[in-house]
Amino acid sequence: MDMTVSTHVQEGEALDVGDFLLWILVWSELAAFGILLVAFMVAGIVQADQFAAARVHLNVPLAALNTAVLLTSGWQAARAARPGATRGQARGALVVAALFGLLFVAIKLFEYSGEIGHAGDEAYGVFFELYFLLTGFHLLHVAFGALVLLLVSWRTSRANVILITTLWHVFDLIWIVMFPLVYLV
Amino acid sequence: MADGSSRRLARSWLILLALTGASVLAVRFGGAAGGTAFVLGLSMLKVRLVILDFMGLRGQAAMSRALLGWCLVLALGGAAKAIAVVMSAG
Repeated sequence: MDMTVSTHVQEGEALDVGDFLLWILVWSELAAFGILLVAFMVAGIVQADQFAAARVHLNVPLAALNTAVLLTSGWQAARAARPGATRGQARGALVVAALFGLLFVAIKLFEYSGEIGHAGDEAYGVFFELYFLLTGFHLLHVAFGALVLLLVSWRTSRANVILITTLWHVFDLIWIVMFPLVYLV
Repeated sequence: MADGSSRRLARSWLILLALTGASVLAVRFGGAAGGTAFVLGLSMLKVRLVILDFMGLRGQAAMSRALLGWCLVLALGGAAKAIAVVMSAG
């Protein structure tokens, strides 16, 4: 492949929101989290009393703060991906988005420190096992996504920015749905 | 890909923060049934803002509806679960 073709291929790889593989990835994530959330809800019906007792030990204000943190990160990711953004603006917004993502991780780990002692307690049924599985799976996605945001801020290209910010917003969506189902309802 | 201006994105972000605060207040001070329905409704509003403004899917009706549908199914599942728990307790 000569240099001209190589350059052409790289330009032709530019992603937009219609990219098929990107949406396969998005829906794989949504399917996995959907199954986990349904399992959590079904267990919540079967073990209603245990789930109600367990939910008392969750830190709702901290989780609400974390929702705000993730939404702020999503806002910055959206600023990075908007069509009029310069490379410098996109880089700055991606770094801020990543830092808020890492702040989400830190707050969540702090929240876990007050809850981990309840895991395995039979009085709470399977609540905490499913809670740590569900929120921990999401937390790993956020931690990995934040590192990729930093990586993309270093090697900024339009295709990479659209790819990671679209996935980042999907992590936002999952948390927005998960927050009331796990903590509030 | 976000398609809004900086001002529009900032406005959406502020609305999202306000809706998050309202969700917490609704659970703390609202009744069980009304609170649940209200909180899930607020979540759907938040989801819609993220999909249309942050993800920039205003012009892609099929994908935005599919994403909204995923969230709606789970929200309805949450409402059904709340009703089932209340009925089994009563």
